[in-house]
Amino acid sequence: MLEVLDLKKAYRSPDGEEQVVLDIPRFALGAKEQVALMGTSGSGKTTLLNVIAGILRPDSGKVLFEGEDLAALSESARDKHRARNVGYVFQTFNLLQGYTALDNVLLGMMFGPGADRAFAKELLDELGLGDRLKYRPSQLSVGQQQRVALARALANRPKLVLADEPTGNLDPRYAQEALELIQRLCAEHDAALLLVSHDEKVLARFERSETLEDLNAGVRA
Amino acid sequence: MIGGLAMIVGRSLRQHALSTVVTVASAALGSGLVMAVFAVSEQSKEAFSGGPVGFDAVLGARGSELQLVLNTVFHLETSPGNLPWEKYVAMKEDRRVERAIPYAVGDNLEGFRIVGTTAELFEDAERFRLVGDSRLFDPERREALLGSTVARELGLRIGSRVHPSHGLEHNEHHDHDEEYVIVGVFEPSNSPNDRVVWIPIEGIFRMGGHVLRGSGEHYEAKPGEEIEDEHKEVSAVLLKFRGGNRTGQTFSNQINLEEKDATLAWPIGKSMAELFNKLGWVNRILEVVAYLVVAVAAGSILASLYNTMNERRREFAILRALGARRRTVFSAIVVEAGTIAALGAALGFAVYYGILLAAAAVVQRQTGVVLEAGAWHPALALTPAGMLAMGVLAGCLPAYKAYATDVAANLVPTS
Repeated sequence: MLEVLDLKKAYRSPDGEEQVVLDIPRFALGAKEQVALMGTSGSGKTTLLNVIAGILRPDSGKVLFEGEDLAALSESARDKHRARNVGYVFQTFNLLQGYTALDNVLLGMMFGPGADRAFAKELLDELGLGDRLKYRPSQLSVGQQQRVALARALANRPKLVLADEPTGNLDPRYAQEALELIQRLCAEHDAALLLVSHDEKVLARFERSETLEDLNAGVRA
Repeated sequence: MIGGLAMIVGRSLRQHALSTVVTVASAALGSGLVMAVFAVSEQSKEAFSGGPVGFDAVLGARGSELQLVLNTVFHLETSPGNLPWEKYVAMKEDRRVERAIPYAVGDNLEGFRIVGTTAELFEDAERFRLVGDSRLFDPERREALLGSTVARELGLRIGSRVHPSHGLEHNEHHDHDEEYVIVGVFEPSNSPNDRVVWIPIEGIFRMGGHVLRGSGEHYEAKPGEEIEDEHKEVSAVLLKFRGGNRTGQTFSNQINLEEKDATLAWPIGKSMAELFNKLGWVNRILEVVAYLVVAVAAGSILASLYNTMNERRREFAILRALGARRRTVFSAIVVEAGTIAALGAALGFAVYYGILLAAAAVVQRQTGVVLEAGAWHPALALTPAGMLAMGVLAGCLPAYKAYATDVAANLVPTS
């Protein structure tokens, strides 16, 4: 479903030097597959997810999503692709503060196939937030906020869920529970999962795991 | 997509409620002021120069046509002087004149102007409708008729007795000895006539201390003695012509070009229109001030939205990460600015009506002329449209800032 080929991405540092962040010869992810990607802080995990999500365009290489090269698409087409095919769970959840839990989920749907209020409620209910639909993020616990973020990521029935350090802000006791929830829901909703983390304990829960240092052949060299 | 835009805009307006209220209020003020300036000036011009007064011209002493019209039709200003009675008689007997009504002024009743005239004036039933048991005055007696405003404000009714004062401003030390009985009150006519006390013209001639100079010599009327026509004077004669404009033009040429002691204000509306044209620069200044207020309102929309852009960068980044296009984010800000402007324009009608009603009340109190608050003016459509356009334009700069938000950089933290 997803294949990354000869991907290169570099940033220019404040002192003008070019810093190569990603140099990945090949990385692939099958439909409904769940992969954990390990990497130290600053190793380019978020940048890779942003490139796969179509938020960033690679300097070179291909990001093939069901055979279509995202790198060749216009920004608007990548936005459309992201809205329809990708769910994103952020470490800090990135919920919109002025919106209720339900509105956070609905808003994500509006940029995709359209708002489906019944499905949004069903998702939140499934995540145990049926009685918190009208709560704003500031009125929810950290765990509840993360579940809203997960509901939002799954709301457009995406083929791929990207999770960026989803347990990074959680109490260790709850982190395992949250991880299990993410994996279970992605499986139930037929979505592939690419989860990045620097926490080695996360590895144990995945059949397949990679380290960014291994993938990043060019940077390592 | 539209639902998403509406949700983003509605949420932002609520989240920034205070600045929303302030900017909406400033837009309302700007919009209302522009509409009021245009509408009030236009309606004033219409009311003072376009309204039918029942006469075609005013004949008065040599002087300003405008002063003559203001004094005779609007009961403002002082009289430019007097005409000998024979001028009135000549007009009355001219076959080209349908009606000639003499006016004599110079007294007041607690500030309301007293006009001496003949009962013939009140034959115009459209403009002069008596209420209840009222009747017209007897020209031989000290009887008075009241405009509706005079009766209401002075609390006078049929049977009340009053003492006129000398001059056009009230001064209790200048009260005449003569006592007049109110015999009639007119229904409101929404015209300057509502503010007038009408008495027989003979009453003016015979008021104590009044000196007549119709013959060129001073003459004071004596009780019981008939006043010879040669002594009588009038302040003005209201004229209605037969033959319309052609007759008016002939009289105008004859009196204004060939005579030295009289002026014919014809047509009546022309003098007032010329006054408004001369005062056009005042309107221009008011319009400029109103436009500036609109510009400030648009500026405040721009500033209030622009100032929130930094705090909203993460919001835009999140929206983009959820799949919102750049143009969606741009549109959200433009729609937000447009919504503020539209709300302001809508509330501007309340400001407009407030100003118009206040202006109309002042104008009516001062002159008796009624401005029509519901009258249509193109500014009532163009101003809200302009306000909306200015608001949308003002939203473009902050919208561009939102449009240019770096998504990845604002989806903090990065690892």
